[in-house]
Amino acid sequence: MKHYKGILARAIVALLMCSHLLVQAQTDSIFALDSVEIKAQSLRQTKIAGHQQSWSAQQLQAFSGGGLDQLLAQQTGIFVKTYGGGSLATTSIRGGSAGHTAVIWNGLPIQSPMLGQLDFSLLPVGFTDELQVQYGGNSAMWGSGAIGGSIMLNNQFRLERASKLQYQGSIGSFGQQSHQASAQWSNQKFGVRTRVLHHQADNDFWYTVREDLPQKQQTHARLERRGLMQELYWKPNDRQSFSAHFWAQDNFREIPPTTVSTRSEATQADEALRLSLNWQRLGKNSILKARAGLFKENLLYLDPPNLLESNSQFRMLISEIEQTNYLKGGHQLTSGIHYQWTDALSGGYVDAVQQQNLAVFVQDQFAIKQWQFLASVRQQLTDFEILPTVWNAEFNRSLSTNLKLNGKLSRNYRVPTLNDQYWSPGGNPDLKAEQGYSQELGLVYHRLGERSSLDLEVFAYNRNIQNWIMWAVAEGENFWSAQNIAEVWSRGLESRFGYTIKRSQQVYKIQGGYDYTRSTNQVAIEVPQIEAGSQLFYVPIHQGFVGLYWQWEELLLSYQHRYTSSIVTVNEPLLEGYHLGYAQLSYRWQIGQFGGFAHLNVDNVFNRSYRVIERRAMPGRAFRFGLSLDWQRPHS
Amino acid sequence: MMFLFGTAGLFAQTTADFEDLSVPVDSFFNGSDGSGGFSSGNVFLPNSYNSMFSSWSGWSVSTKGDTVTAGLSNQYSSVPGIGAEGSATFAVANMFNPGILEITNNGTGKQVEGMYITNATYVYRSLLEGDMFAKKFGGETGDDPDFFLLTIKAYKDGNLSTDSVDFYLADYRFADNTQDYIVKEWTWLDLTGLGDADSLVFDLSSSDSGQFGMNTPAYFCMDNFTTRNFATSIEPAQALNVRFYPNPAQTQITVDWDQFGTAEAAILNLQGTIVRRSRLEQGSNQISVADLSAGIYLLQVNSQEGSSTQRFVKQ
Repeated sequence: MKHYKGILARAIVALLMCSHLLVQAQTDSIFALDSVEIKAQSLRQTKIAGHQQSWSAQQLQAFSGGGLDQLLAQQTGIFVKTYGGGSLATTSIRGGSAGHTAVIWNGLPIQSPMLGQLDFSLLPVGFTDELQVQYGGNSAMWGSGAIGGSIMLNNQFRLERASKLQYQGSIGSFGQQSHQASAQWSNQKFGVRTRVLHHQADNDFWYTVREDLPQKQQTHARLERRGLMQELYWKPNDRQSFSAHFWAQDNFREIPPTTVSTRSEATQADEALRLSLNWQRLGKNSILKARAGLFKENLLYLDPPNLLESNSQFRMLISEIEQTNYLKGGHQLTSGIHYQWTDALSGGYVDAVQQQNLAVFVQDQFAIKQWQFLASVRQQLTDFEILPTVWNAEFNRSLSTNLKLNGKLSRNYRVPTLNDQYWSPGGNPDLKAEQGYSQELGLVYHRLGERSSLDLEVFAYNRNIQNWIMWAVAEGENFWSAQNIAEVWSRGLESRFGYTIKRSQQVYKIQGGYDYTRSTNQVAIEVPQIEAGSQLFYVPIHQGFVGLYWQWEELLLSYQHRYTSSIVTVNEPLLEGYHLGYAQLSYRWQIGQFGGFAHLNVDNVFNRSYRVIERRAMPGRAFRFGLSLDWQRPHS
Repeated sequence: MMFLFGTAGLFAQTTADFEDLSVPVDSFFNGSDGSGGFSSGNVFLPNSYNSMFSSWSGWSVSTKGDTVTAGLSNQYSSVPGIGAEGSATFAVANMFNPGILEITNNGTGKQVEGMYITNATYVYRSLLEGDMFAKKFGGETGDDPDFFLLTIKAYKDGNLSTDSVDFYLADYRFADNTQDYIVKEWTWLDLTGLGDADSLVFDLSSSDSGQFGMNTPAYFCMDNFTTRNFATSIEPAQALNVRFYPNPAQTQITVDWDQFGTAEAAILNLQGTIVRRSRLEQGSNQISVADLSAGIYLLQVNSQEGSSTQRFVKQ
């Protein structure tokens, strides 16, 4: 019996690990904890197959002050379609559109229901404690939009008897300045943290049009971002925990002219208020999580010379309950219900519009000998209309000590955005949801030696999406309207390698990767003029990178070289491919209760003239120096 | 208002100047009343209005004269700020797809004399400075060989003419960038080369086009659309092929008249006023232009065989 209790205790610890309530200082009893880390993420974040990347709070520090767009462009295989210098930045994952990336904050989707996407330049890295990118379709878990991939932003907090103050600042080229301060206090039951940030940039960089012509300077590109994040954590007993997160942010930016226009006086102001509440309860063999979110965003676009004033706003209320039951036979059965109410108003809409979504989902994870399986299914109703049932089935099998094979089949979808349905002119309330199937196979090799480690990963995928929504000119009309006219076939290969050698106090590391992405529209379209079989706009076929790292104790020197191949654009036949280099020197220290981190980043090391989007200038070589100071004191 | 006048004293003409539509000052009619178009003189200008989206295509009529404001909000203004020949009212075309002008009354199936044409302020500003969607002509370097072209063809008895009249609303294709231009005055466009017509088709094209179609705003302004009204017993006139030189001219122009009989030549300014008349004899004929002020003029030749109107520049 005693032995049985020991097994049970370990099992419960395992459950806690699975539920992401990580035990940091474990004793014989799981109920006597010195510190506990609370994460507000969903139970569904775990996956057993497919390509994924994650960053810890410490790894994110080198990008603090910047937007998430910079990190994604430099550290992932995601193509970030950026208008440059803090302007609008969206993603294309595995040849998908900007609306095919689900963005999940503490388990809740935060993409705009009006646009179906998120501007990653507006997401400050400094408000994220953990970042995860999951490549590939995952609609069965995350709902609409999770077709190309999903990006998870999580907050986490360690409940311990301590106070902490932190300041992170950076200054850089083109008038960049960023300041972020954080204060937190906690004991083993309560925790409170306040973060504020201010970021500004002039973005008055010079760019080259042609070698024999004088350089031009970017104008009207100033931006300013202010944010506040307030978090409360409460763990009243060993089985329950609560957290509340309030995120307020306002952003102002001037919209620079294109390289083929003389001037711009347009500005854009984005305001976002996000509140999320999380509750978790541990049962004997189960974990129950409930969360609710209230999001309110406002976008005001002004262009006085053109007498344009566009104001759009939405409110979104989301609630979700999910429970994982640990059943006999090793089954981890997760089921839940998700409800979403949206109210949106725009100058482009005739009236305010409301939308309701209700979804139920079930997921089972289990193992049979060397095989691990995960299967999930989701059914959504949008305004009482039944959407396609989406599902996901994945496996992972160890082929040897170091080699694993994994694979995934899934059906995914994206519901039309509110703009697709209600924008006047062109909105089409009768649009169907985009939907399709994807298949994926991956091989992962990991060998950890005494002084070295080797990682090799390769993933191949195939995806077909029907009813792809595109804005096109219908026959006999002179305005653009949303139509289910495209069918897109995406297929590709993602490969990664990493080799690390440790020698005494030094670590040498080389990392690299190559992504091949073919994403073609299979249907000829007249306007826009798209030939059947042609590559989608703004999806590079080849992307590659090589990174070199040298670490000596806490000193780190790194260089990363990235290549992006030519891109099909809207107006030019092809936008030239480009090479970019990123270098970083950083040092971390800890003296008693005081810690610090200093870094110097050089972006576009070789000062290459390049374009990510036609007619949009990109900055040349840019320097950024950052300093982070923290003070932490335990208290009784 | 419909009115008749004689050009060179040979043919009666009807001009649609849209003043009879009584558009209030600084205003426009864009078809929001569901009328489906506008009639003036011998033309009907079709309009398609979408009440759900408050958008229109085809033709509107306007008295808007904002010559400064860029952008779609100023889509009804002409860049000269008024109609042709100092009038108040003019027509505005919005034709992302080719658009139609129907010839009515006693002009149907007859020859079209021509019309005045210019850019809308919205287009002029966009071509000159660029905007969020369209490029400034010349591009980043100023050397791009850009153009904004209006091509006009005629329908007669259901058949589309093979001949067409091209008019460059902007032309940046010159090797010497100083010659690049964007039309900003009302300019007479001779359409006699199209022959007889029941309707005309207007097609805009631009070098600034991508997969989503033309980026340049698909607008232009038109006024004083003039048709010839022949008696049914009279054969329609043919477009004459009249050769003259030099162009530009400084002191005189030489007009070669290689037809039997005589013809009447008239020089008109862009306001439509005849500033010189001359009788053409078989052979080479000199017409003095020395005393004319520098500018653009029209040389109009009328004879029993037909007529011709061509533009020349007096330096």
